[in-house]
Amino acid sequence: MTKREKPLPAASLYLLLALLGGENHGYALMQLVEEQSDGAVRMGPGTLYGTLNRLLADGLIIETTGERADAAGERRRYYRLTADGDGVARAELHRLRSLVARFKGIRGLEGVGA
Amino acid sequence: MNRRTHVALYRATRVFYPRRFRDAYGEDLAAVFEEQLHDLGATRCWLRTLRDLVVSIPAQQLESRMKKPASSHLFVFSLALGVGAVLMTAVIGTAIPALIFLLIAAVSFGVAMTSRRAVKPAIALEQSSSWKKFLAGGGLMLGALIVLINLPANRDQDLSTIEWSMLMLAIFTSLSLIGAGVVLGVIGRNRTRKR
Repeated sequence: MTKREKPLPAASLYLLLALLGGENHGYALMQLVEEQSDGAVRMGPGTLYGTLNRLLADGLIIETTGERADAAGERRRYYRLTADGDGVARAELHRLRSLVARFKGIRGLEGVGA
Repeated sequence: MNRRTHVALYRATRVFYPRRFRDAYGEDLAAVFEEQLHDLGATRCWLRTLRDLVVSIPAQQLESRMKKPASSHLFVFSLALGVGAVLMTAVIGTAIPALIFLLIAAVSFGVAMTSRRAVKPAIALEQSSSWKKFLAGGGLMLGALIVLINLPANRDQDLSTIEWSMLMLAIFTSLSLIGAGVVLGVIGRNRTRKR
């Protein structure tokens, strides 16, 4: 697993989390991110492909379009997590869970993360 | 405005992204825009897209500039500087200033060689029209030097050793650049013919 010192930017984090559910194409990922973030992260095409491009360069995801059985007629690009990407996504989830756990005892935050 | 016009308008905005990004994802950008247009309607789609363009274009431009390796032009220029220094030593025998310039040339050559794009600089240069730039750059440099030397104020002036060395190096470097331009031009032309 790649060790990252800094937390991922929101768009990268949400895209990795969306890919934990399995391979998918750009537009579906964009919709998943919006849904999973309760509408807080709304990407446009430029941000989507810019982020996917960075994740590809970092080796956290790979393009799987060519591996698909229906690749011939497919004009969309499909992506999936690499082992490193999967590790980073899980590590980020763990980090967020620990963060929430750390603040559980504070008055007024009892319901957070429940 | 119909759907096709919206998509055409969005396609036109892609020109502001860096070329590499556009070449890699241009069609995907348009396809996602089209799907968004279908799902959200024109107003919401454009509101989101405009916000995206404002954020993602500068981000991509900045990223592409930061990633850009040292130009292959640096490779040829450092080579020309090195050749110029060697020629200067051979012709006028001023060894110490030439050694300094050789060192500068070696450092810039090293920088160019360690950059990704310059690993095969000759190939990159043959395929482009860079040879014209070297030819024009060398010619302009030489022309400017000739004008500078012949200015009435400079004509009868005695030059110090350093000034003389700089002048000679500039002349030999410009000649090397012209030479590099001619060689690359001939190689490029032969390659085009073979294809």
